[in-house]
Amino acid sequence: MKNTKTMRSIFLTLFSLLMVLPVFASAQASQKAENFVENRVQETLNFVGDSSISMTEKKAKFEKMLNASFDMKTVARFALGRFWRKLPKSDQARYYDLFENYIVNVYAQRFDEYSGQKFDVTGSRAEQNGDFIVFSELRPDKGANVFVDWRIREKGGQLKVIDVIVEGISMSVTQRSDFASVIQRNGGDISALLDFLDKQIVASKN
Amino acid sequence: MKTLKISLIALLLAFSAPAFAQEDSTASNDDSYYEEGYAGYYDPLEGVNRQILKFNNVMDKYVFYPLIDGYRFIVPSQGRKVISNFLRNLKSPVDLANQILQGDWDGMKNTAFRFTVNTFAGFGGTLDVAAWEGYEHESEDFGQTMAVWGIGDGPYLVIPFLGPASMRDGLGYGVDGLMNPINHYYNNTDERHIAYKLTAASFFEMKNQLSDFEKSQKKNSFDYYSALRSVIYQNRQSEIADYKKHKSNGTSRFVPQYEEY
Repeated sequence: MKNTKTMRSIFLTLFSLLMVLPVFASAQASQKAENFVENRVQETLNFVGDSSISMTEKKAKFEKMLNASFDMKTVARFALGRFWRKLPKSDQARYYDLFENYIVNVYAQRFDEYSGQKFDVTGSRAEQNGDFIVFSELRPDKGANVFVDWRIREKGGQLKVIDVIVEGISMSVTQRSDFASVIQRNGGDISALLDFLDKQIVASKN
Repeated sequence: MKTLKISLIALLLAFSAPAFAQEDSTASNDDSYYEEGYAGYYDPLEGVNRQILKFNNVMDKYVFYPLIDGYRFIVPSQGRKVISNFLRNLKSPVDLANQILQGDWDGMKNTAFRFTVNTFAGFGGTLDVAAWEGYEHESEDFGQTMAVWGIGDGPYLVIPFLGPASMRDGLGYGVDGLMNPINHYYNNTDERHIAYKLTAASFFEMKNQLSDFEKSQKKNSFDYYSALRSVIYQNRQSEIADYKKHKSNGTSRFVPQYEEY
């Protein structure tokens, strides 16, 4: 009688350990994603807010950070949506390149706004598809806090950002609507979008 | 007069019923109406909407943005905060009524607490004392209530001067105006103009808060019309999911789900 009780308790302990293990592992991975976001954003805010660094240098640093922390190819493909499959293979490299430049320019306009902002990671959660969502807040000197969420995916053993969600609005989803509409309004011609991207980049250099 | 307004809305609702039948769940592969892999929008009036947006953009550039620049120049940011708090506090009865209609018990408690504390301890609502204690504002409107009841967006509209909204939400804003006891109070006195002035002030305040976002979106999108439409739908989705309620506790915040390529 006593034996079965011990057996049962051993079994229960083992069983509950087995149940807890995956949860523990995912909590650890989630923590890793939080640290990843915390470090990268802090680093970026530091050089972006540094008035001793020139704009060209900031842009170069930002591009480097983008390539190291974002899965830019996934982001670029997502922005093209269903038109990705219609993009000729020979244009893929050009599109990736244009997209990256476009993103750098969009953010570069706002570098000034980022200076002096405080940043806090407030939590994270694991998604069903294996992604992590890291929740954070930007606290500007004046004005309301901005809530920024990051979609993080592990790619080849490395964590990468694949979407930024500001106050519930996904940058990727918004870009996709914008890009799709340009293509549709030009009779389904993807090169029209590539031209737009080109022009925007040229305009931002002036 | 009041009954006329209400029956007008009832009539509109009745006629637009077939339009509301366009629910998200019907999202098919129909490219012209639905954005693939993401909550759909229904925009059969795109041609007209684009023209109205053009008109609104001209109004923004020559009327609203200069007014906003002037306002920001004259009134310091502390003063603007006071004005925005005051107007928002006046809207509390509308937030509360909608939370009751949605059966949002936690939201109701939050709004009731905020209204009491801010009105009495926050000098008539000019200071948001409650938010300092973690009771943050949650914006509710009848459009969200209808969404909670299962009514779909209906067609996307760009309304002259006011801006974009789905038909459901546009009607919802109208109903909110009717719900507001302050409007009722002033409409039944000789001081009807005060109700109009408060409405105008709220509109201006909304425009003021939106203008920075609008400007950067106009600059950074190739087709502002469709980028704006996407933002409007995403924003409504997260509001309906009560994104703001989950702001402080972090991990339950709503994020869009989508297909990938």
